[in-house]
Amino acid sequence: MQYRLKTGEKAISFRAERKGDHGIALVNDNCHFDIEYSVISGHQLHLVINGTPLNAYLTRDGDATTVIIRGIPYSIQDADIPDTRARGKKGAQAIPQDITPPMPAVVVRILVSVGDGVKQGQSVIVVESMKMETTLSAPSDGIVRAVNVAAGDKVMPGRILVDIDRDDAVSKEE
Amino acid sequence: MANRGEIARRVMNTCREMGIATVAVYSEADREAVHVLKAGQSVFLGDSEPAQSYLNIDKIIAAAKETGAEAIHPGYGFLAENPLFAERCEQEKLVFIGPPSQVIRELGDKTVARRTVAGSGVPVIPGMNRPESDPGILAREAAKIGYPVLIKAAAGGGGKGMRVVTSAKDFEEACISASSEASRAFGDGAIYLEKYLLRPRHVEFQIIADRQGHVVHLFERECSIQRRHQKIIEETPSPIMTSELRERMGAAAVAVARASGYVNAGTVEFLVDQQGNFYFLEVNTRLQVEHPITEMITGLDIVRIQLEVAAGTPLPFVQEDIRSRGHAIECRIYAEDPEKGFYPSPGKIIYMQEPSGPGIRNDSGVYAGFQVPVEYDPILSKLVAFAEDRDQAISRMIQALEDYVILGVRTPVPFLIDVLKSEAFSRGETFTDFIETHFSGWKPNRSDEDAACAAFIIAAMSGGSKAKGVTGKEAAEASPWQTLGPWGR
Repeated sequence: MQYRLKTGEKAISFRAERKGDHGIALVNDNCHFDIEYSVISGHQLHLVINGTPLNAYLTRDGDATTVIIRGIPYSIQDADIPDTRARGKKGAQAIPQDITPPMPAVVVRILVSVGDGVKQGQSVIVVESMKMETTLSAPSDGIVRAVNVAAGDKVMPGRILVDIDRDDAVSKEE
Repeated sequence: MANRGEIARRVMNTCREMGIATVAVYSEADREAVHVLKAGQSVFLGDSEPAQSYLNIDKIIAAAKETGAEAIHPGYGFLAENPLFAERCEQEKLVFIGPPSQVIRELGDKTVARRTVAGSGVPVIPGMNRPESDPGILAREAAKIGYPVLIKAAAGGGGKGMRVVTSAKDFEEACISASSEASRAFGDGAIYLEKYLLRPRHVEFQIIADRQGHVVHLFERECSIQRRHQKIIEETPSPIMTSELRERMGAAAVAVARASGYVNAGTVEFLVDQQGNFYFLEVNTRLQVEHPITEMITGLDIVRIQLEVAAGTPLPFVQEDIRSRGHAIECRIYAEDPEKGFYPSPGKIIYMQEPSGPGIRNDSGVYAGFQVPVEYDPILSKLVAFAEDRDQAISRMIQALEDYVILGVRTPVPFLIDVLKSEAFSRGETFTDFIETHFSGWKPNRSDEDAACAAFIIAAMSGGSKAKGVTGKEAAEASPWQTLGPWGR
């Protein structure tokens, strides 16, 4: 069986072949893994990969599965399953393009008004979650077109708090 | 127990050992929190919002009266350093397990503390000795002190309401933001300024004083590794400590305690500059988050001593009796994502496996199935490793972190592993800018990617239809209960 997986920004393919009840072989152009495994619990697998043992811990996280190995989390997705969370954009950027809270939060202060000109990186709105204030800033130079929330509002990730019309037309085409 | 989570559980553990009955209080979000599950009895306070629950003095006093409690332990955070709460306890004839309200008031105002300490001859950081709200005066003071300056909440602690400002153009917004955060955190938005020392170490001394006027210190803790001015790794002894410096700083800490009329456990914080000069920073008039490392090296139970002192018992030892042995390191495990600037990561803990073994202590406030509330500080647990020396303690901590599995929320475990494994940490080059200097833009080294893919594929292949929940073949919205399915039973 063929698997196409996404791990972060990378895509990896494997051909998987069962080897008895507790074995599997994974092959692609670069590698060949002979794996024996035990299912320890609903969240834990013990794997012996080409002779090297390790424990993997798994849980579903939105569209992806988080796998923790030696303390490090890996986010893995089946590339053949459409991504229901991406809102028309490929891959998360380091600099968010929308002014939206990174997590459920409460609006504390709004630092701009409709019609204001803003510079890239300028503080636009302050939200608070888990006792920590976070300042969200303008992703680019532009004009504030709309302020969609008021101080005290509870807001979720994905909600656009402030709309900014960009100055440069090029990035609008994205 | 006027607190929640890991600290409420930790204090109640000692109470149980001493045969003292315990009463927990809880909010709506904490109906199933660990401190409620472990308490002798529990009283519901109200809504999850702190003002309606853990910060509500009337409700907590009422809970104490209703259950016949004789004493209140405030833990850390919430009302722990609120003089009105301590005063109210005094008025209601409830023993407040901490210093007298007057001492909390004087030391809690960082500017008053600076004046008191300067009077006792202990060096303080250059800066303002009075809080100020006028932006014009603050800006002039900042110019006088010289950038970079540190804005601090007069009522502060835990990095709340604190901002480093490097230039005049950012100063005003930073003041507004700091003051607003301080007023939310402490109910008091007063701020003042201190010179921001470059690359200092944060070294604090545990002190304990009884009602009879005996004061001792329980050595230092080095807490330089911080993010957002909040400690994430602490250790004792400090890698820079010499017996001569320890003696001088310990004596200064005891002098601060005496000058302020201190009673019960507290912490005198210092900054140590590159030349080895130390400056008084502040006194935390409470049990400190990182107290376990001191307990490991001294063999003392600080909570037990707190309870005995509060009951009027004199300290059972003098300074010379207190010995330290070995090395202890604490890592704070928060619900936060170290790959996204340590943003809080609330959610339900789906699965958890805690490390154990010789020299490992984990003060935990959570369990698998617990929903980590968004309303409170995101600390999940404090992992402590104790060993004969620093190198062994580091190795022990790395192993424990690798064994610590928490699924459902992000944690700084992978980040902490890399810090502990770093050359800079190993050499003891721990300064307060450690993370910015060595770990800015950090990402974990994902060397086991193929193995992670293998685990994913095995789960998909062997789980049958139920496994689809975990691999994403089905159901975009997985319920928190969805697991790999029935296999393995």
